[in-house]
Amino acid sequence: MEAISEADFAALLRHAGLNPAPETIKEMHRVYPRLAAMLLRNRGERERAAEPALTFEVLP
Amino acid sequence: MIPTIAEAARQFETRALSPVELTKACLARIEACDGAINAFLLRTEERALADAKAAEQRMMSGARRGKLDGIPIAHKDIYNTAGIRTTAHSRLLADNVPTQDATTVRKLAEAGTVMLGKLATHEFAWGGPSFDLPWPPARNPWNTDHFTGGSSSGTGAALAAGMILGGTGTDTAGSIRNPAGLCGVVGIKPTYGLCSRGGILPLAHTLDHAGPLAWTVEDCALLLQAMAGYDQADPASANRKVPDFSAKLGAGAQGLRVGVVRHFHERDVAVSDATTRGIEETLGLLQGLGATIRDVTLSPLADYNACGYVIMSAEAFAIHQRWMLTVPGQYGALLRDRLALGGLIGGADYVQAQRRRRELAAEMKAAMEEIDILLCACQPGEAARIDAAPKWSGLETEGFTLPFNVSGYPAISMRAGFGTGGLPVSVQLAAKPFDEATLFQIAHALEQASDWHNRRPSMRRA
Repeated sequence: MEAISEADFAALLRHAGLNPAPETIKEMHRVYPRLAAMLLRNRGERERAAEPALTFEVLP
Repeated sequence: MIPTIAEAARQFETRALSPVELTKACLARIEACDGAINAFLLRTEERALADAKAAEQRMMSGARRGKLDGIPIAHKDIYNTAGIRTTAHSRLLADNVPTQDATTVRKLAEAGTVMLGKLATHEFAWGGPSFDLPWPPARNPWNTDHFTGGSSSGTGAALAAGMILGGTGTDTAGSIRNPAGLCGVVGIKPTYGLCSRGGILPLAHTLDHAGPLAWTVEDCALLLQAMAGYDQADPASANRKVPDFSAKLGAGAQGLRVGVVRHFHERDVAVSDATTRGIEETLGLLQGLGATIRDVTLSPLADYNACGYVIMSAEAFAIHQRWMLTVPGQYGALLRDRLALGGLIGGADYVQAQRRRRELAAEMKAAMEEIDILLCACQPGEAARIDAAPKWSGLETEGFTLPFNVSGYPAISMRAGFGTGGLPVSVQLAAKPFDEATLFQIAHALEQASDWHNRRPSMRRA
């Protein structure tokens, strides 16, 4: 995932309706790559076309 | 010394102790200790004494309700209590007085328990330890300079300090098992759907679980017995018969098949020497008890954490979105910033996480086909100093507890010794869905085979 600039990150927050203080934006921008890596990890690369619909029926 | 629930029940039966005497002893202990621990947000002395007197009258008239009758407990302050302030440890709900009990609060009251008060939590079960809220965070009775873990922080602390005999918690990513482990008590996150979340303030709907904490495994089984059961107020509640969770206590561990997820603590996340020693000693005890041990490999802990963290953050933001957009300054900084990051998770990202969840749950189901119990680390080590607990812990370090929230499988944390600083370390055991009875069986056998539960904190002051 491409790195995002602090200014773009602030714009993302504003788009979500959030307007943190500048020092908070800086701090959140520092940890955001960890979240972005999680999003990428969840996406994976496997073929899921035949996957059943999302349910919670794995539990008996 | 405050007795365990089982001990108190036996003493009630022989009239060696009365509910009123025990309740007064707990209230005295709270008065003496809680100034240093901050486990209670609200004490309900009058209610407690009234509950205790009613229990005593039932006992005198031969109408005792069971082993929980007359037992003093307290509730995490995200459990609604009718007519009693329920704050979620947040300024936003500082004056919130619910009109109805949470389902589990009602069921525990119907079992005859005595309510001592409401317990500290992390703000809305996620924001803590925080020092900018109307109440201070709970501190660890083993060393009050240290963190309790969370978010059922007050419950873990009050139990370890001997102020209550049992208490309620919730667990979205480890919030029962972490404070239980770090405070040296026992906590179980039951199977998803076993205990109603009706009337409990949510953090993340598809990951939240309600459950008990207590000093011993047997006590947890007794509390869970009262809490479990179908409730139409919780859409995820499982409509199935509740088994006897104490049925296999005392049956030992002979022949039980235990799978150890070694790569969680040997490769995925570094743990302290004391934690490694605790895991190995626990495995040694299990072998001595006749259990068979084998290694089990699951996906890396990072996979479970990525899946669980994204789901939790997105669901939590959805729950708090209105307040986050209108009154963000009312939150403590820690929760506000964690929630804000959740606001950046898109719909596709959330769906991908749920799809991944299904794969991980299927993986766990397959891994458990030929074993009865999974064993793994619960925390990387002893509790950190309370002023050094990381703000972005879920992002910057992977926790050992989330795999069982993601999968919904029941998991218990229990003592496994002590670290170099004298604080407890713990292990985590998990079972197949709705097989809490086997989980209690093996955990009880382990507890009886060790003497860690005989050590109480000396309440060292900061």
